[in-house]
Amino acid sequence: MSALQNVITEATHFAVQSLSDVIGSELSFVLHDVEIENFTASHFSAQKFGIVQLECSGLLNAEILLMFDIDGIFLILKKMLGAAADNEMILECENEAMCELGNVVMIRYLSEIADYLHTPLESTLPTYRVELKDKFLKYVNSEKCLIASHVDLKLDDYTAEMKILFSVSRESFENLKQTLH
Amino acid sequence: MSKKVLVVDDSRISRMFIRQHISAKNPDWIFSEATTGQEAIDAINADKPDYCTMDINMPGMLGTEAAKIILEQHPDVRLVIFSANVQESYQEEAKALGTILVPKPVNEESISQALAYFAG
Repeated sequence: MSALQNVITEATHFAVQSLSDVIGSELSFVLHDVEIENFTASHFSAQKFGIVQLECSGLLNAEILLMFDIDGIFLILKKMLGAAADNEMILECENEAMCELGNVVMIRYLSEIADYLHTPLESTLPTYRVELKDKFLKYVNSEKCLIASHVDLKLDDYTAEMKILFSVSRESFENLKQTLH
Repeated sequence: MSKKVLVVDDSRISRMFIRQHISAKNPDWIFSEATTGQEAIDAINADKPDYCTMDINMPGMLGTEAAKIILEQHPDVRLVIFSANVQESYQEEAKALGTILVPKPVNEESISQALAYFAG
């Protein structure tokens, strides 16, 4: 495993742990792939995803996206907001709750990378949107370098798709590789 | 004895969780809220609380900047920084301010850390 893959794998584990802390129960999960540059759409099974996004700056200029399939989001929010939350309340709070959850999970992921690189990383406030897979995949086929963590999350009887995508400029990617070398 | 707590966070969900967890253990405490660093400074000047929880990433000034101003003007307010941003640089900044950084998410464990700090 390369140094970069090692850092991303560790950061992903911390991200899932902080998701467990947010929803208040230990999640079982499988990190089935960490892709560095060789991004493939075949890892995306669901048709629709909820996406929390923020940008980071510092040594790395990057966008970080945390994605869950839409059914997974419903189950995550139900756990996060508690048993008393009905469907109406979940829908009403979806945007704010996902921003809060995404912020905690992605900042934890980013903190791990920042400490590993011994450099502070700043981040913007998160935004949340729901997007069809096909539309999203058009967006990711860009000039940027993609680092993707593909996780299967066990939520009761459901296996949710969770992705963390680190979309890094070429220059930042080279900085990252050199720093880790 | 009843205490006053100012909860500073731009996320309504986060403010709600902080209030819920603290008031579960201290039902007679009185809460007020602010959603930016500037609002927090104004709120503390207007109605000095005993305790304050401060987020870092908010619109406008960072929570650490607001905390610095608040602690300079009101050194007896017990303030904790509440953030998922546990980078070493932020932990050192919190330490330099004479406070602690409590890692988010808001749950029983993190609230216990904050309450222990409040109690001195």
